[in-house]
Amino acid sequence: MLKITNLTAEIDGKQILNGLDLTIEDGTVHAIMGPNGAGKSTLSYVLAGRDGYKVTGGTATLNGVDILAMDAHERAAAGLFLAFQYPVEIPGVGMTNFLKTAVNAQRKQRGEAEMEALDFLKLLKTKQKELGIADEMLKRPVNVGFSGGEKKRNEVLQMAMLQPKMMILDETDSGLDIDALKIVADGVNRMRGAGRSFLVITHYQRLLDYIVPDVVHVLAKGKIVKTGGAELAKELEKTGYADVA
Amino acid sequence: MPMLPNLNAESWKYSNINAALKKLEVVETACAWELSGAVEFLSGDNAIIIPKNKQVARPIEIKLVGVDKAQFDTTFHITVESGAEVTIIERQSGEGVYWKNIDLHITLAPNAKLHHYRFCEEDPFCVVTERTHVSVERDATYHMVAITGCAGFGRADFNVRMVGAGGACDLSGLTLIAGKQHSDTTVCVEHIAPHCKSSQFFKTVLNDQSRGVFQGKIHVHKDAQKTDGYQLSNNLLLSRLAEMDVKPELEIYADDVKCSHGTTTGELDETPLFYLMSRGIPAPEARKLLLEAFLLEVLEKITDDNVRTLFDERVHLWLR
Repeated sequence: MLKITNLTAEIDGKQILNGLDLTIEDGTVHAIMGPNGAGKSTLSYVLAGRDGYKVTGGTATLNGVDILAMDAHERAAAGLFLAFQYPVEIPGVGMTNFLKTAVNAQRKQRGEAEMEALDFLKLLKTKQKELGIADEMLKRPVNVGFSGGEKKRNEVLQMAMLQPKMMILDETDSGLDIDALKIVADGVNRMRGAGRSFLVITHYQRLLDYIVPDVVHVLAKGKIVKTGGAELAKELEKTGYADVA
Repeated sequence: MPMLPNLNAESWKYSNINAALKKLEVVETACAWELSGAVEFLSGDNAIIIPKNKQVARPIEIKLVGVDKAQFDTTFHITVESGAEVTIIERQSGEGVYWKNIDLHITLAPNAKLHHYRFCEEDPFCVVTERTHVSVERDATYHMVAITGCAGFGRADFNVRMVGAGGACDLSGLTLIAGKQHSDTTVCVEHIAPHCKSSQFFKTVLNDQSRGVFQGKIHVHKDAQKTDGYQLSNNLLLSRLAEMDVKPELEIYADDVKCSHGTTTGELDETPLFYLMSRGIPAPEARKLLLEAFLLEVLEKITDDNVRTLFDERVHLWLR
């Protein structure tokens, strides 16, 4: 369970989150919608532990453990995963090496044995097939020369390999055509259940047709201002944010 | 002791050789190069000649070992006759406080091909000044990859003269320095004949209070039409106190050429670092991955597998 209480945070001295409360129970999918500048991406970076985002008050715990006190890599090992809005290109670091390093770094931190090369490759092959990722893509450096759709599929592949408990999808729909969106949504839906939770951050209702949320929140001016069921997203699509934000 | 260049000479303005030598107590000492795989190609002292059309299958190793308190002034000649091809691994090592002052003369006859790998395992307190003079004749190729940065004070000059049409030279290097090391790479490629191609690709990683210098010049003479010249210097500062001085230069007198130069100096980018960390990779390991990635492009220039292993090991040792 992710529990955020009265969270305030700033960047470059400018306060972006203003006392945000949010509880995501195990096995549920929550969506956060909101206008530009509401603090959606800031929330995801603050939770993932990016440098430069300063928490000035409040708490955030994952299964009872304070994540705000941890480094970014420790949060990942604790089960948190951020799917980036703009996945980063890393020339010179091969995809397979990257995935293997990440999987084993997390296992090491959790006190588990490192994965054998053969087991790793088997797992990778399975997940790769499910997501329709070509072998050739895994031979390239991380995200280098990937199309927008491939980059997002790659985020889902990492998610599938790392098997996190709490996943934050930061505007995963941005830059995706409808076919790519379906593939990404399928990948996410395949991971639903088994106690895993999602926080889906999006501008548009469209993504929520494919990843149907249990709860929808509206974020405005750094706070949750409205909460409802999946129907709230459809309502917002019609009325816009003017009434709620 | 020979007359030493001072800081008034423009190409020496970043590297104070006099100050570096002042701290050394060295005496002129005779030295001997150690050679392996070269018996049949020896030609007097400190000279090898690869005869016409000979394809030398195994790399030749030439080695000069520095000795405490010694000053070596030495010259080595490599001649590759027409149509011949050879790989030469030059290993510079030593222990103690010494000064190596080396002149390396390389002549490549028409259609000759030389792969020159320079590998440095010097003492961190020594001074090394090495000048490599290369003459590239028609359709010959000079391919050089260097890993440097172990001397306390190092200056490597490359002077490559493209004297025959269709010649090519490909120079690249990695400099890895830390502590108070000083490493200067100064390259001048003279395009004298037309239709030649040259490339300079040098990367430096600097830690602590080290200082790196890269000065690269492409000089295109007036008859060297259709020259294709390239130069790139990428440098990574791992410490706020490290300093990198870069002077890229083009001097062009022909009117139908393609020449480019570029340089970057900066810190490791924060965004990929966060991306790796957000996947569970601790910061030191993430930094190491990014550094390896930075160095990879130069290492990929090595075409010999054994040399590649040698260079890779050296890089891993430094990154540790």
